[in-house]
Parts: sequence; structure tokens; C-alpha cells
Amino acid sequence: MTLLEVEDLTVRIDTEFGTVHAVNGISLSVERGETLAIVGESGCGKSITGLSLARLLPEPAARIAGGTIRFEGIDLVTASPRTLADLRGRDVAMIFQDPMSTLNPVLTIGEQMAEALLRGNYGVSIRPVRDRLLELLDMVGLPGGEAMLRRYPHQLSGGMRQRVMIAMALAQKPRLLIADEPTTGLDVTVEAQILDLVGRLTEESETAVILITHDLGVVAGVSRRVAVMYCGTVIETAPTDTLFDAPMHPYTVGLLHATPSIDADADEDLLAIEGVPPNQLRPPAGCPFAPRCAWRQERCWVEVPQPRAVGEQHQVACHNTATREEAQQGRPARLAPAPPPPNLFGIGEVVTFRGVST
Amino acid sequence: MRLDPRSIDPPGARPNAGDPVLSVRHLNVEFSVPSRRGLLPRKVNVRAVNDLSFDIGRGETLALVGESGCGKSTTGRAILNLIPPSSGTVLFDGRNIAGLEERALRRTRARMQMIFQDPYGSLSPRQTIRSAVREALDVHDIGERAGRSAVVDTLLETCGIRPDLRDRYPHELSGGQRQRVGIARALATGPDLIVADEPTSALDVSIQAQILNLIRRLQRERQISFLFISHNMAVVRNVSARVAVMYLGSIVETGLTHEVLSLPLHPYTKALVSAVRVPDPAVERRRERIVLSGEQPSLMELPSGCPFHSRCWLRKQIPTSNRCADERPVPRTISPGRTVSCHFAEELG
Repeated sequence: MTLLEVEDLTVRIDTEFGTVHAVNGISLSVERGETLAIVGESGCGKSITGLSLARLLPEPAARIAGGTIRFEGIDLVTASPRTLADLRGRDVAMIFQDPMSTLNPVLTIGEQMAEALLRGNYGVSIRPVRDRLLELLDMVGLPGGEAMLRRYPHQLSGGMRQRVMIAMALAQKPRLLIADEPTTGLDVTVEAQILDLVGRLTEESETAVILITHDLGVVAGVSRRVAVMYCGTVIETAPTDTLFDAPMHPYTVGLLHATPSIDADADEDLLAIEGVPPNQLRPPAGCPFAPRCAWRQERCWVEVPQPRAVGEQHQVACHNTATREEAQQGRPARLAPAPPPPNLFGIGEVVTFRGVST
Repeated sequence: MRLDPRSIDPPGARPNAGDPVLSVRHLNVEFSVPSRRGLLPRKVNVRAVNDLSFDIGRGETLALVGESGCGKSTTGRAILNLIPPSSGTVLFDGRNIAGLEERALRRTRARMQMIFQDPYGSLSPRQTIRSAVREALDVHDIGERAGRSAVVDTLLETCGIRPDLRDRYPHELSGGQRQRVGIARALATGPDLIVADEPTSALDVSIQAQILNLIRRLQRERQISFLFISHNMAVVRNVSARVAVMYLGSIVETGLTHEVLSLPLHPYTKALVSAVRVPDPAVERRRERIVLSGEQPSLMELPSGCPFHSRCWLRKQIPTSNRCADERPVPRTISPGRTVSCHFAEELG
């Protein structure tokens, strides 16, 4: 059963330099108890998407400019602040990359965990709360019992702080956990502990997880389905096995070939994706990946590709997808050079062509 | 396989190698830090790098890999004498760095360069990138003055900086481009050794691949030796034929990268390798993960004996021995170029 259904979500952020097209009409769905990974590089809009889903965008500078987010039938885009406050923490919880900046430095771990647990229902007796806190510490594998509850965030290591965040997020057995780069910045052995913990606990409570990450290795080990984001759009969605086995979007192909692996042959260079992602203040007229794409055709410069189904649960937004063989090679089979951008100089900004189909 | 505990090969020494560019023996680095223990403030010594020995041959790359706080960056800096070692020797081209006077040290430094994780921090915000690279030539007085701008252009070209970017300032460049400038500047003095400290850790995967390919090209074409410091095993696999694994200031294992990855011998290396994620779901399902309990202890409370014994998951299999807690294991040579610092590596192998 579908827990979360995102349709055509668009997010704009106003900055002193202009409006950033952070998220451009993405659609996603998450089933109950399922783990969906959103993978992409810096600036692709994956974290902004995560914040939008919990309605935690720093409004009004960042705003949802269109689309719907249905969580168990409730549209979170139009929901009242009251409804949202009820949902957050109880049904939808979120953990972030850097727990040091989300934990309050002047409150003890125990005080903050109690706050998450009580959610405003103060005036209850202390003993059951303390027992529950100790239970939570135990659940996430934090040693020290009551002494731990009296510690401050700075007295804990990064891994321990993330455990505190996980305890707070899962205290209410939410139906959806949004985890934004929860292990980035942690050492690999600690990462293994944290991912292990999140996997085990969410499975027990049948909590669905949206795992936002830049790390394809984490995706491969943890999630059942993946959405790949580039420049504010979801360019490919597929079951994890399909995505790694037979990716179709040239960016996904490029990302897989650019990722070093301990399993790979080190005799050959990685296939780097040349160039850098486009400026999202002035997004390109056609496919955002066209300037870096070896598969591009003339139409890619002018026409934004829409997601289309290419297999079971497999969608791709691309005019000229990679074949299975090409995906394995990491380069197009046709040797014809990719066409250069049409000559747009002198006829105004590229951005004015946005949305025009030819 | 039985190991000969009396083996006297220095750890990290390579079989059949010529004179190494860099030869490090019994390197120790200590910091004096204020103690939090007790009533009165006092200073205690913390040993960040503990009795390290290794060689790097000409044109060879050695990777130092380990988790944060293991002393890998400190080692890199101590080698360039940016942090004075408290004891031990660092021989660069056969000469002890520590004994060099100021002018000789400066001349030697031109041949040993460093690339940092964040070149933003090492580039002046008020200097164009062309002049940042030029400065390296001026400071070390390399080449004729008149020819230097051409040299700068060639260097930037080599590192893939487009001509139209060369008069820009660091803040106008992306992270990957800044790293290219950092590399160009390191190359300016024609170094024999480059210490690269996490050079791709702040970069996105697609950009990281570009920088790794650049480093691989320099390895092939310029015979530069690298000490490549990284926490990322997959990156190390890609750029370095040899690896030394560090834990809590000590090297616990050295060997050819593909051997260490396919058959790690030290229990810490086994856990570290098993924790690395492989971008392939089929492989991930098959992999068995050794999840270590707890975290790396503080250097201020260095465990007695083996630095890893407090977290060692294999120690349970040797229930009768107190040796791990009592005796610090020394690096033992298992096969040519392969050393491990564990009393029981052969029982566990």
C-alpha cells in the first residue's frame, strides 16, 4: 500500500542572485515499510526534496511552488500547521547528516530525548519517562544508562550523537523516516554500525525509510528501490538490482562508472563524467544533463525529457537511453560526436527556451 | 602458514626496489595537550604517531588508510617536517630531513609537495590562480623569470584548467577546479614526492573520478612518488598499488592493495574492509560484515599492548592469552612486502 505519493513537486528558493530552481516537478512514491534511496550529487535537490516532504523548508525563502505530497491521503502541501505539527515526530521523523547542529548544545541528551518523547505533553510523572528513555538508549546501543542521559552533545562522538538522533526519531515508531545522509562524515566502521541499526529498527517497527545519500555503495547495501536525481529532477527510478544491473539514463551509467570500488579492476582509469552540473539559477532549456552527456541528440538541447516507464517499476527521463551493452561499456556504441548546443547566442538567454518543444 | 617471528625485514620495505625516495624509520609524533584529569591543570603527552616505518620507491605510490584520528594526516605532515617529529628519522633521498638547516630544508621542500583536501584553505582569496601557481615558481626561483608565465600556462593546461579560468579567483572556481589548481601548484616545483592528504574527499563522485584520473596520469607520465592519505579504501584501490593501514597511531598492516583488500590479515583490516560498501547489490548481499563494537579509543587513553585489543572481535577466539593486552605487537613480515602487527595473525588467517 502506498504510504507517500509525491506528484510534480516543484521547489523554488529565492536568493540574492535570483531564484534557484531547486526541485523541478518530481514524482515519487513510497510503499509501507519500504526503503527508497534518493541518490545524487551536491546541489541536485535531494536534501531540499527531503525537507519538503517533512514540510521543513526554510519558508518563505524556499517554497513549494507546485505539486502535491500525499501522506496517507493527507496533502502535506496544503495541510494546516496544526496537522503538520501532529504528523511530525509522530508519523514522519527525520534525521540529518550532522547531529551536532540539530541537537541543542546546552541541553542534556536526556532532556532532549524526553522532549521528543513527550511532544508537549508535560506534567506527566518522571519515572515512566525515565524508564522509557533508558529503554531507548538500550535500543540504539548507547551504553552508560542514566549517566548517558546527563551528558551533553559535545561529550559524545559523531556516531553516538547519530544514535541519539535515531532514538529520538524512532521513539514514536513513525511510519516514515527521512534520513538525509545519516552516515556521511562518519568512519566506515561506524557507518556500518549506524546503517545496521537503522535497518534493524525500521524493519521491526515497519517504518518506511527515505534514505538520501550520495553514496552508491550505501544504496546497493540498504535500499530496495532507488531514485536518481540530477539538477532538481528525478532522471531514473528503478528497483536497486535493476538500476545497478541495467541502468538506462546516461547520468546513472556515468555515476556507476565514476564510482571507485574495492572490487574494481584498478588497471583502467575511471570513466569520469566531464564537466560540472549546470547552474540552477538559470537551468538549461532542454535536458539538464545534455551538456555533459555522450548520448545526447539535437532535441536534448531544447526539449526536457519526461519520465516514461521502461520496465517494471523502472522509469527514465531521457530521449536517448543507453542500451544494456552501452551501460556496461559506459559509453555510447555509436561513435558519432554528440551534437554541440544549437547557436543560441545573440537571441537571448537560454532560459527563455525552457519548456518549448520543437 | 607459519611465520618467522625473528624476521628482520623493515616493515614496508619493498622487495627488489632501488633506493627509496622516502624512508621513514621509527617515526614518533607527540603532542603536548592539557589534561582534564585531576585538580590542577597539567600537560600530558599524547602520541599521535607511534613507531612508524615505511619506504616509498621512486615513482611509487603508497597509500596510508585509516579512520579519522588514526594519525594518517599527522604522519603526512611530519614527513614534510610541517609538524616536527619527536623521534625517528625521515630520510628523503637519503638525507635526514630533521638535520637540515633552514636553506637546505627549503631547497628540499621544493621537491616534496603537498595536496590538501580543501585547496580553498591553501589558496589566497586575493590571488588569481595564475599568480598562485606562479608564486611557487618565484619562491623557489625556478626557471628564467621571463619564461615563467609560459610554464604556469603549461601546468594549468596539464591539470585541465581552461584558459578562460586562469585569471579568476579561487572563489569563482568549483571544488574540482580548485583541486586542479592545488595540483598544478604542487607540480610547479617539479617534486619527486607529493603528499596528497584526502585530495578527493570533498568532491562529488563524478568530479572525484576526474581528479583521480589526473593523479593516475601524473603517476604514469612523471614518475612522481605519492604518499596518498585517504579514509576511502575504494579510492586507494584506484590510485595506489601499495597500502599501509593505520589504527590509533600505528601501522597494523601493509601490503599490495589488492592483496590486503582480498585477504586482509589483521583483525582491524578485516573489519575495515568488510565495512566498505560495494556499489553492487548482488555483491552487497553476499558480503559478510564484521561490525565492530564501540569506537576508536582516545589517544589520551591508549590501550596497553596491542592498540586494537580493546575492540578486537577475534580475540575471543584466543581465550587463554593475555598477550594482546600486555605486549605491543611489532610488524612481522608474512611474505615479501606484506607485514602485519598482530600476535595471532597466523592462527586467525
